[in-house]
Amino acid sequence: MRGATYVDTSNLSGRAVAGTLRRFLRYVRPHRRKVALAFGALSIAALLNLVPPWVTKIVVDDFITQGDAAGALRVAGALILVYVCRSILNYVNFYLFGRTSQQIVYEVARDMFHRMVRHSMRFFETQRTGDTVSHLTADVNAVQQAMQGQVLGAGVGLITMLIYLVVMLTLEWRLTLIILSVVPFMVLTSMVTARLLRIRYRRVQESIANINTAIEENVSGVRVSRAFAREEADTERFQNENRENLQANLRTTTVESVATPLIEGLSALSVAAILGYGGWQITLGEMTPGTLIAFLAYLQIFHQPLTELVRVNYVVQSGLAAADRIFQFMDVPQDIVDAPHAQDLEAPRGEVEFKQVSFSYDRITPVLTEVSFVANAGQTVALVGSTGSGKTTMVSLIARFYEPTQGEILIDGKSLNDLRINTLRSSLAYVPQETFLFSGTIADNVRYGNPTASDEEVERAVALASATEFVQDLKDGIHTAVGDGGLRLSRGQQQRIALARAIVADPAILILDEATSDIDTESEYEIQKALLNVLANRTSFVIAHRLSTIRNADVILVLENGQIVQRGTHNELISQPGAYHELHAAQARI
Amino acid sequence: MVLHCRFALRIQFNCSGALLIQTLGRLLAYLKTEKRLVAILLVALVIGSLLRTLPPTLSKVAIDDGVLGKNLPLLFVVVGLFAAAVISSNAVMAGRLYAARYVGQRVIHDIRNDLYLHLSSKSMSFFDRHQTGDLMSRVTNDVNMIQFFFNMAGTVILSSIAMILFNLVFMVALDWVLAVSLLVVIPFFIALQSLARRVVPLFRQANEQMGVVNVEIREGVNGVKVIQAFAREDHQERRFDAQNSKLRDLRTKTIRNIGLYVQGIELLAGVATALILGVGAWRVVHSDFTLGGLVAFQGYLLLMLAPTRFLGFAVQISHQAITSGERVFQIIDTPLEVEEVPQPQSMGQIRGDVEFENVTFQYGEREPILRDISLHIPAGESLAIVGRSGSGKSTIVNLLPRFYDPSQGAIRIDGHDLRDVRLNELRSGIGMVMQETFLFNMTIAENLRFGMSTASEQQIRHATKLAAADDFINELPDGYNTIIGDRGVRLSGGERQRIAIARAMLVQPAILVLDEATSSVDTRTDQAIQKALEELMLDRTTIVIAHRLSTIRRVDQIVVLDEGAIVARGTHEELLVTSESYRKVYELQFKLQEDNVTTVTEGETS
Repeated sequence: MRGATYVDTSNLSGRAVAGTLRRFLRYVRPHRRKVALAFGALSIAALLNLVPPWVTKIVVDDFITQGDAAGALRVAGALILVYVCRSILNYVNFYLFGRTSQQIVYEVARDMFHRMVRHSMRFFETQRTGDTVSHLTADVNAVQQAMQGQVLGAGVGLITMLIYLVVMLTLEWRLTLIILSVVPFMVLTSMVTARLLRIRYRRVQESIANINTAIEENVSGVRVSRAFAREEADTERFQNENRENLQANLRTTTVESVATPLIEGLSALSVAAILGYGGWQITLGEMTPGTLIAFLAYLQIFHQPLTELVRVNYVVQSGLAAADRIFQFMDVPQDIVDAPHAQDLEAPRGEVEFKQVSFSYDRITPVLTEVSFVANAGQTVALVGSTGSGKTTMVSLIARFYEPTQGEILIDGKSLNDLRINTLRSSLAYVPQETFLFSGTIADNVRYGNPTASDEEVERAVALASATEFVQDLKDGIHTAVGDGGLRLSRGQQQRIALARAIVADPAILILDEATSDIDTESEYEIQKALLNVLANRTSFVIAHRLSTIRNADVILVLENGQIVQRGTHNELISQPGAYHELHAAQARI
Repeated sequence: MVLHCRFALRIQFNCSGALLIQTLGRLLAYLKTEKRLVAILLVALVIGSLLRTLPPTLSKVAIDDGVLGKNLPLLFVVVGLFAAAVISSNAVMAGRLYAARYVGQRVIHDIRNDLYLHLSSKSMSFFDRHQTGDLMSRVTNDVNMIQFFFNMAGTVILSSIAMILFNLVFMVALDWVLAVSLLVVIPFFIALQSLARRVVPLFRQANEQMGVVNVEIREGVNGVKVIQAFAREDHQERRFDAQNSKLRDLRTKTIRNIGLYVQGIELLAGVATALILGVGAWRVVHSDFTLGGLVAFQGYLLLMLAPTRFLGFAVQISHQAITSGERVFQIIDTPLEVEEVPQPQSMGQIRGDVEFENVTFQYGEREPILRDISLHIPAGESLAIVGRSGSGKSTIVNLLPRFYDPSQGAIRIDGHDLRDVRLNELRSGIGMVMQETFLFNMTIAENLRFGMSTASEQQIRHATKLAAADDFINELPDGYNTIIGDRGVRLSGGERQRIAIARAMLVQPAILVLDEATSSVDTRTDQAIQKALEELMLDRTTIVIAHRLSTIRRVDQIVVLDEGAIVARGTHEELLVTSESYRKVYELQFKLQEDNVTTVTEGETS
């Protein structure tokens, strides 16, 4: 109802507008018959508006002066029929157009989302995620509002105004001029108001956002805030934001409380003018009372679309700007797609080979340089190295989140480029550093790795990830809602769920990127024991800082600055001087 | 009864009586600060509405006496009056709108402040009990609903009621027969209200559904790695489509209902217009009703139209606002569990002598989490707490800054009972590094300054160097001014932790609480942080929830916690000999690290 989204409408050139409009019309085209029907209904209804004042004129001039009361009643009865038709037509238009525009907004949002989930990681790195989210939601909203804001009505309003004008001019041109005389002032007032409000509304929106952030941080950061005794400072900050919001609101109020009475007043003043001039003309015998009374009604229907026009114009502009951004978003090309000849990865064994693989995110700074290794099916490969040495990048390449700048990666002897991405990723499970849980139950989240998993399988995976204990303590067990809107789990708990999610997928290749880093030592120990089973018959890549986690690996690759500097088993590496030995010694000292 | 009523309120508005009125009363009580303005507003409302009802009567006089009575001077006088009425009524309206909005905004501002103050004085258990999402929705959606109500109340709702009343009076006075004939439409009008009643809840549902869709989008962005890693794009799309189509359907339903209601009202207005024309013409021909009267009557109908159209919604908006008010007041009314005494003692310079005396803690009637804990840490000494997860370690350290109060027993710092001291002083004297690192959506520098807003740049750099955070911060695009969190750069767990440590270091607290996170810092960095922490622990009281072997070897005393009770205390060497349960904990938690050491010292033999 309130709280419209105000979208930046600047820097949208004429050509861009035309392009966006054309693109948007593609969404409208499948519904063109409904839109045409709505348009037709509305136009006829608008013309019907002309009838009542005209009937009034006839009643006043012909029936009342003739003393024909019965005739007046008959005509009035016929008028009711006109109103019935008008209401039906208006409803048809309102509902048809409303339904269609909701369908179109639905389609735009759908296409946008479908595009988004298939974008590569590179895309998300170039955009700040928070910005992406807020833009997507705000833009779709703006389009929605533009569609809902009776765009059609405003368009039809303009056309029907011309028709009204013709009818009024034929009836009495001098009174028409009086009605027209205030129009420029009304338009001017609306335009100035719209401009003033645009900036002021944006301030209101910003300050509301600040207020919400302040509250949200007070709620979710409550422990830190209390621990540092920051209540007073935070409260002060909040009160400032709140006052800022009050002032921003009052600044819009000033404009609005002047504009509304001004426009209404202008229209009402022309009523006075018509009454005075028309009355004078009647006494001179130049005009009939019926004409005067009809004009008092025409004035209302003529001025009404004008007051709407500026608002609608603004909403439409915002909608266009938003649509433009949405289309731009959809047009970002997908950089990782299936090759035309791509094959399914069938019955994967899980042999992974890197052949001279180099990679750079920005194509300038190398992150991996000529990395080569072979992981045989079923082996556990541990990646060791300091932060920034390229471990995470390496495992991301296996999932083809990125493509090597040079070299080639093979799974079961087939190049990743020749495999269908879907089947590749279905055969591996990846537990990333940053755990993400979806809103839904714990079971839903675990089942994300394997939608067909039975409750028992889910429970078993939860047990293997050493999560049974805390899950059982929850009110609804594995059916407890987590994620957005659900119970907040600690990072360690989240990691365990993510681990269970990977376990239940039963993949040929398992990638654990610091998958147990936030879990306390005691539980980690349990998990490690359990993982031995999980890692047994599949190829696994494990990144961990705790050497205890990786001692049992078949191969340890030590990375430094994007290169493998050492490789071997724990026992081999520990006995030779080098990076691994140093790391180990350092950890032992803690 | 009241509880039942509250529950009913949330779902339907069929909860009659006391609570509704009580909540409305509390909402209206916020008007007190602006008494004068409210009075002016009401006066302006009456005067403005009266002025607005003048023009139709004036046009009657103009037509009957001026035009038909051929009295030109009178006509022009009346037209002049007409213009004057229009100008003055709109001027009054401008003032009234401003006053109404001002009062409305003011009330919302005050409600928000109240709400925030209450939120920030609630104890931690309040936040444990309430979900963030629910709190946020009360603070944002419900407050918005109330704001909407207050905005509408002063500007539209009250004036609609006044306009309908005044117009009715004038219409009856003008020609009561004609007025009575309009009664025909009333039953239809009442029937239509059921539609209006449906619309506002639909609006609300659609807004809530929009929230759900937004969550889907957010998850699509934030969870994209997981989605793609499991090749579940199709699933995610279906999930989104389902919610998105639900939103479309809700909105379409809303549109249908609005359309029916608005067109229904429009039709009734048309019928009324036709009635006035037909019956009016009849009256003009057969009685002393005049042509001007007919025109005036039509004018009144026109004036009544918009307020009537709005009335159905107004009732719903008020209901919703009261419901929202109820939800907001629930937060405000939750009693404080941790509260400063009226005349708190000053702690002066905190030395850091910490004493727990027979402390028991439990939530409500549940099993105690801590049982009869007694311990003493002389100023400057260190204590390590060990025990399995769930043994109550975190609860002990959470009692220290008085996040909760003990259910029994007392905690003293420098001899002051915590319940008697100034909360601010107490908490400023304690530095906490917690396992769950929470950073705010602001720049790194602002996050670091969180505990000490006056910290200089040198102090900050010193702290970050000690916490081994300086290097990675400098590599960020905007260095210390990089915004982190949702709206900025995402940091790894280890990086976040280092910032949290630096944040605590800056404060130079007398008492340091470390939940020694086990987490994801690589070994070299970890070593650096350890050294920093050692330095930090040097001359202050320290309580550590220990995860590292190196820590428990270094502290002055260790307590072993099991199911909320202290089962053993002493130094590492003593406990290894004397305590069976310590040996168990040690086996589980620290043996691994011991193994590491052994392997290194024994070289390749492992």
